[in-house]
Amino acid sequence: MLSAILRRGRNQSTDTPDDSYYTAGQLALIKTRFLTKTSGLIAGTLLASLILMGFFSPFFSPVNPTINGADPDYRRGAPQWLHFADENGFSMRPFVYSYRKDKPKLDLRAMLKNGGGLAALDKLTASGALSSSAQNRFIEDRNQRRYLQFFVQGWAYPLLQIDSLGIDLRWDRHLFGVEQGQVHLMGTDEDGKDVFSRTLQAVWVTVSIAIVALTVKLFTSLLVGGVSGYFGGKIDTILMSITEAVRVIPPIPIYLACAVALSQADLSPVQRYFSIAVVIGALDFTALARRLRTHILVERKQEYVLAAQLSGSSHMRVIWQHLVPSFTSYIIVDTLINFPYVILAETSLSFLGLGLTEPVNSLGVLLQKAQDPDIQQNMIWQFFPVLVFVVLIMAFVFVGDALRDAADPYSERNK
Amino acid sequence: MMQTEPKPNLLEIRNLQLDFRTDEGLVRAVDNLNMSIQPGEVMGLVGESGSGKSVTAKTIMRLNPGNALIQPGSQLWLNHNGQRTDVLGLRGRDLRQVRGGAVSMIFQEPMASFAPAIPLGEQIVETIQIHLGHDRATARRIGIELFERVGIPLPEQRFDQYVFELSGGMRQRAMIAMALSTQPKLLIADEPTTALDVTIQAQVLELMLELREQLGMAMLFITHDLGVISKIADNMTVMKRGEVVESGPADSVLYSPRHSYTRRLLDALPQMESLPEAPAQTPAPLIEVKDLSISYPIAGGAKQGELSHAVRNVSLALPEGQIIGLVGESGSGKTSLGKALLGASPISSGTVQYLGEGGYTLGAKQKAKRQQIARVAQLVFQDPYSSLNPRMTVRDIIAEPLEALKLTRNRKETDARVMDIARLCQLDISHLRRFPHAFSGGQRQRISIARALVCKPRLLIADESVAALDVSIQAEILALLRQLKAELGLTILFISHDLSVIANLCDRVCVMKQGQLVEQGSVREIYLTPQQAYTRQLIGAIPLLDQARLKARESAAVPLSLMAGHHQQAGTCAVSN
Repeated sequence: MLSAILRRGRNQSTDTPDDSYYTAGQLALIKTRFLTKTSGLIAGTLLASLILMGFFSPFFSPVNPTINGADPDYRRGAPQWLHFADENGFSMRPFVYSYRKDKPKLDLRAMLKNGGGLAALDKLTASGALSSSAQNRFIEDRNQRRYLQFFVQGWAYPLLQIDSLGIDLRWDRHLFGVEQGQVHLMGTDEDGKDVFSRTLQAVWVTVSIAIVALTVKLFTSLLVGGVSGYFGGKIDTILMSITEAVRVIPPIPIYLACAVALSQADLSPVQRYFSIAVVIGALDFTALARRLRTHILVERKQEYVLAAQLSGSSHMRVIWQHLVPSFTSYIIVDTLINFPYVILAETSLSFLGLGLTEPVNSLGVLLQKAQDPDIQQNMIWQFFPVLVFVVLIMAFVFVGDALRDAADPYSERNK
Repeated sequence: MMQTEPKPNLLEIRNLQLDFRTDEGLVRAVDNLNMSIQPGEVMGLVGESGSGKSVTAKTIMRLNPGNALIQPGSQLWLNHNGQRTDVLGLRGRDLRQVRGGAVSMIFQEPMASFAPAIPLGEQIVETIQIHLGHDRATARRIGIELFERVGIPLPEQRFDQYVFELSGGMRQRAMIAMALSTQPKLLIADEPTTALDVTIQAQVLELMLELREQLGMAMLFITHDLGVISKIADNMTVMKRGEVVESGPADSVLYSPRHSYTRRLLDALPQMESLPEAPAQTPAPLIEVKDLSISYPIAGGAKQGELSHAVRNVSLALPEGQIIGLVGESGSGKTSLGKALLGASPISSGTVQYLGEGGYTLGAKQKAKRQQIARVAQLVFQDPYSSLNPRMTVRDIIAEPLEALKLTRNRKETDARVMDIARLCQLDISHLRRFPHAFSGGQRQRISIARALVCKPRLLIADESVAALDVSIQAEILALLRQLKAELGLTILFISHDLSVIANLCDRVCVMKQGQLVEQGSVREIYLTPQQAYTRQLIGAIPLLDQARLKARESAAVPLSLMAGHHQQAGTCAVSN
């Protein structure tokens, strides 16, 4: 295959000497190969936009996702769809309808007239007229449009906040909003918090936890795997037996123990969860450490390493010039492929109620709600975070896959 | 081969065109190939790596990988048992006709071609049962007979052994037995002797010729070695980059080649009549080896400290400014000896003494500093692919010894040194920014040589440095080494199993066998009047063209201008490769 590229390159370079392929370094080669994979590209764009939207969630959210932004007048509200046209005419600017709460009239007097008693009360409660969803019915007022506005002024949020330096930049512009009241693209939950805004924030919380966990994991595995692989012998045997020992400990009980231990400490929910992330990362190093060790063992035997040694290079030089670059691409790929698993660990812990809990926004917390029969029956729009979660995981998997194929540009060097 | 109305061809290939689907689009592997093989004929297929010869062979058995695309219009016919079969149209079970039925194949690497965890006999019995429909006992009897026939001693015992228990030559014989077990009409041999030592190669060739006479099979013999072809083939086809450049009766192609490419291949063969003269005087030695023994601890050995002896009591002096060849079969300890000169093998007794400036002494308990050795002695590796770090630019690779040894004061000086040496090794200066993946094997080996020479060592050890290269590129690298020796006054220890390469390059030759130095002397002494039985056997086994007929060709006088022309062409080819 390489010869094919060469042949083609040569044909082109007969009149225009294009040296870019030949002078392409590792990263450039990875990029070129990655750009040829359509699925990876699409997933990558999706992933990047999701994470960016998560990172700048205050800007992209029309409503404050915390309890401060909860809309007491629109609890359990259905998504407000964007419209361009209705029977009253067409509009270039999308709009939503305003709504008013439908006050169901409970005819208690009638109940009494029919004889009253406990049987009648039973009948009333069983009819569902008293349930919170029946109490929160909203009627669209199709004659009253709320037009969508861009870069609207809203709640203030910190752009950059470093307490120690006294920097506190705040801004109050948001990408979109409506003239009056609030817009709830994906509806609201039982407290009136905007589901769309919460989800955006949750994406970033979850991803940032994954980043912490993966950084810890990477550091541990590099240390254990690298030392083990490079020095070999007794050190290798000892380190690898420890790794194996850690590997057989079931993770969930450990997480449980950690959660309990941490609940004693006086930590905010997010701090608590970050500590759990550190534990997840520290216990999850085994697989990567073993793989790194194997990789270094193989790479050390390569002739170019011997060549470097025979050229008079010191150990440090061999490690930094030859061995470390040989597995950077590998680590990048491995980390990316592992991202979904860490997110899954977070969500499963939150789902079990061990990780973050309400009112913190994380995908796990939002997913936890999906088991509530009330939501399953009456507020199907609260499954929106599930959709985002699936898309996020799939995007990571596809990008990771495409990167894995592209990451080793030298895999066919012998062909 | 002057049959007027020939029998129907056993195999007919018409307009075979084959592409590979790759990420970079279609790559043409075989372009419009026509070939026919008659029953009982031995067809030699010659070409360098990537010329499409193995792909052609695999197409006959329909063993191509999934991304191979046979273009419409290609035809492949097999005339067998009075039937004319369209091989390209075979599907499913019918494929057995060409996979083992009428055609079978011998692969280059017998170790990799047998299942390692199943006894050899088991694999052969299964083949016979499937193709000939015999019961187990009969199949076993036939298998053992075959083992006997291909000259495996104690066939009944060998039949139940595993492939790793056999030596290289025996493995290839077992492979041949397996290929013959289905009584094929056409035997495809894909470089069957390339991985073998010369003496074993000669035995295997003899066996194949013998079998062909006895069984009357046709053979498609793929190789890059024209010497081998001259021993075995009736007709031959020369391929280059997927195209046939020359074909015809072997004799006429070998002794009156028309295409410059064929001529270049022929030039790579050693010519016994024109061996280089020994230098008039022997200069003082640069490095002296005294009673050197090298032993490695046996991995998984029963006892701690159990050693395997790679080299025993070798004494050797390398005269300064000469190219010394070190020849031996695989496992003779030549690489261990070469590395010992660089302090990279564990010396168990004896000494290596470097006598030049900045000298060092290595012994069982004497360790010289790696940096001290690196200044005066360097190694050029066998594999030009794995010995260059793919993540570094050519400039960085060549500059590595300078930077590691801190021989230059600043980057500018390093760059200047790198450019000087690159020019000397005929590398394009503008290519220094490139990465190794942009280069062909030959150019990579130049980079490797440049790296070895950049710190101006006095001694260069070339460990099978051209073994992985194609014949025509080998010639260029050898010419470069010769030129460098002349310009820089280098002393080169050239380690090789290939006697033709040694004959073309070296001033002196040392022959090793099982860790011991058997014989040494000038090239002429060793090749023309070998003293030891082992050397005689080794020299006698080199496949050579018939000298008398070669002379006839010489006297027919190839015009000098033409020769010059083709050398020039060789040069341009190398650059574009």
